[in-house]
Amino acid sequence: MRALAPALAAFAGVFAVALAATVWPGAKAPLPPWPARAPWLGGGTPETHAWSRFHARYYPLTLVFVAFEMEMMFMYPWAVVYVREGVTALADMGVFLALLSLGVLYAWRERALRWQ
Amino acid sequence: MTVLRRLAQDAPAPVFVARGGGAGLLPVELQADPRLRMVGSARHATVLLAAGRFAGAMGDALDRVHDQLPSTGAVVWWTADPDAARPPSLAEATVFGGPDPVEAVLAAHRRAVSQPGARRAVLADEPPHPFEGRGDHGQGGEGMMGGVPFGRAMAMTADDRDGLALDQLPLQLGPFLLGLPNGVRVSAVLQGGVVQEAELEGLDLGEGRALAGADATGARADLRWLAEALRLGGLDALARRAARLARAGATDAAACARVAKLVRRSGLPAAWSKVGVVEGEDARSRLERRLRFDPRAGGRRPLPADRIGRALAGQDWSDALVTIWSFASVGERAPAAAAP
Amino acid sequence: MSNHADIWAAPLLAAGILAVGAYTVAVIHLAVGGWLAQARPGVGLLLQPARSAAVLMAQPATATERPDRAMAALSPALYAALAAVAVTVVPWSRSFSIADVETGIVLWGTAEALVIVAMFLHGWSSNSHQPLLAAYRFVAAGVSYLLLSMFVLIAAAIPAESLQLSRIVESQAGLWNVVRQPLGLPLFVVVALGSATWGPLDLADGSDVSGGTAAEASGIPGLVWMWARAAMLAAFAAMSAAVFLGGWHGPVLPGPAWMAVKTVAMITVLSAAGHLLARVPAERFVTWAWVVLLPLGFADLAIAGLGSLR
Repeated sequence: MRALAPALAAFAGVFAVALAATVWPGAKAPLPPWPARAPWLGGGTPETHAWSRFHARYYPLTLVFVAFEMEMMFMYPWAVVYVREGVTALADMGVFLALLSLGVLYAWRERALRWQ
Repeated sequence: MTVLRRLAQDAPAPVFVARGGGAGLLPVELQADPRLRMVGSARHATVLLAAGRFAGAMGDALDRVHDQLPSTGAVVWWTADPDAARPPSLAEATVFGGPDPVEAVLAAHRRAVSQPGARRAVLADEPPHPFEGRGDHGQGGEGMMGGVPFGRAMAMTADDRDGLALDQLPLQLGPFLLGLPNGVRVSAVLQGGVVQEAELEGLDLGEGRALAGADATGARADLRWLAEALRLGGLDALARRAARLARAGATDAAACARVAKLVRRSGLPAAWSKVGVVEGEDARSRLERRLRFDPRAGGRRPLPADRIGRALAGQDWSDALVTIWSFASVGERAPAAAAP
Repeated sequence: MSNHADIWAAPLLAAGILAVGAYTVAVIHLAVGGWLAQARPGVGLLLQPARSAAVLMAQPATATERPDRAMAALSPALYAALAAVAVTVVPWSRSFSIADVETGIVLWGTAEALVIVAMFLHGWSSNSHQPLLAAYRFVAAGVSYLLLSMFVLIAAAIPAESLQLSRIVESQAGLWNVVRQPLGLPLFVVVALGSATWGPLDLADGSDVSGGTAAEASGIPGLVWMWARAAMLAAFAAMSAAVFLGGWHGPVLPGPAWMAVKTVAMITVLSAAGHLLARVPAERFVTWAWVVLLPLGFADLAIAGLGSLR
């Protein structure tokens, strides 16, 4: 855990500097007029705000992704003890991955990977 | 900070090009010059280069773009007709009438960087949807929300092709967008990035003199079209190469063939396949036809705008832009109701 | 074990490495682009990123009508900080990396996953249609390439019997991972291109949406975002040099010099991929990632596993 300290320090330091660089130069500038703040549409006009209940058509995909992520959590320690455990480790993980791949196959056949 | 200013003056000038009437695709060739850098959003530019005629609706769109240019930016108007009617955004622009505006653009860039006097906005400083209602404080009114909401409306739901009813974004994407031919404006309704319905509208490009070199035929016109198609596909370096070839007159057939080979190997045709299928032909085959640079393969029948609009329904927005550009004619678009 | 940097030196070292790395990315990207465009770039190329940065510094930052100001300020900073924390795990010599945590790969994976959040927030914050579109389509690609990274890194961890980066580099003393696990580096390149939205996977900042999440960013906030993207690409180049190209191993030259050479080589590869390959549409990439690349990831894992059994 002692080794995490420099990593977190690097994160905090660069975060602070980048945040200051983004915020500080324009902090006291007046807000530009309304036409300068319109959304960029190449000369066009929008009718509504952009923020909306956006139809993210890939939402089934995110569920498959979460399943694989949970599997990744098990693979991290598995990788460390793999050489010690030998073929049984390979077989175990193979079964695990095969079962999850059935999920991907199902998603593919059910056209979760296409969204038109 | 004079060091910064001197560095900035020698930088490649980020320029946003707005193509108007009489410009054709001539401004596309400017990206061949390494002293310029074409950008897709006016927010990234220091110079707005307006090429051609801008009147009526085109002028209104140019005014909007002008105000979205950062306040330190400069405007250059490249026209063969300096006495034509100009929109308010071009009232104080530097007018250039010659064949090659690069020096004028660079001078404008240096001015924009070294003397940042703020440019005044052209349109009125008003919120796009002011607060309306019945009462003294704007409250009350009809409808579910008791009056028109302050500022812009929020998106409303509508049914979608897959049974969900989420929000739709109706918008007009203006004539000065990468992937749209000159003067074409798209009124689209997007839901989740997929076009639900779209309508292409050709704005009036006016009558008058065209820029010298705006009309091109054969391989030169195909190369200009290709340069924009490559920028649309994210291949800026290849686009500059195609623009260089076009600027040199497109006489070197071997060089054109090399560019075509690089384009085929880049995966752009694969990205365009099965997109925008109209009359059995998809965008890929239209691209392949252009890549042959065949001077004899002229006279493609122009397609009516509503036909293309119908073909866009159900496509992803970036695929819709590919479809529109794959139909773009290589010359100046005929005005009014004819196809882009 | 390896030396860690002091917590006061760590931010400076990370920022310094990323500053040099990002500048190198910019110069190499311009050089490769200029060569491809046949535009004969001169020595002036070396200062060109500085000049373009000066232009951005002279521009005012734009505002939109109703932005999420907190997220607009935090997202470039988050993205830059994630590149910094990612580069701290990379070992530069036998005895030095900024933060040689025992679970280095996990820290790297964390930074990678949060990149998707930073990218999405950047597109969301300006309340503008094209950045929002770009942000949503990027998330689709993001969840698709993220798994590849974990598979290839775990495959590299197997022969090293450790998740620690310094051990992984030491395990390549005999043979580099790019030779004994050949699928690893190409898949990792895909992840690198995606995390920095570069080239064929430039879905978040694409030219077909007028610059995507950066469409409304100008001035210094735009500069910070561009720098963060280049820094992320440099961090990925350094990581791939460490994990697949043998890290600091090499004759004659000292370790850090070899790391620098290999990192520059990877930056060139990534830059060439950016200039030569067209943007892959999001839907197509998603299908391709799950149906083709993921089985290749499995294959890479199998090769690593079988190779380590002997």
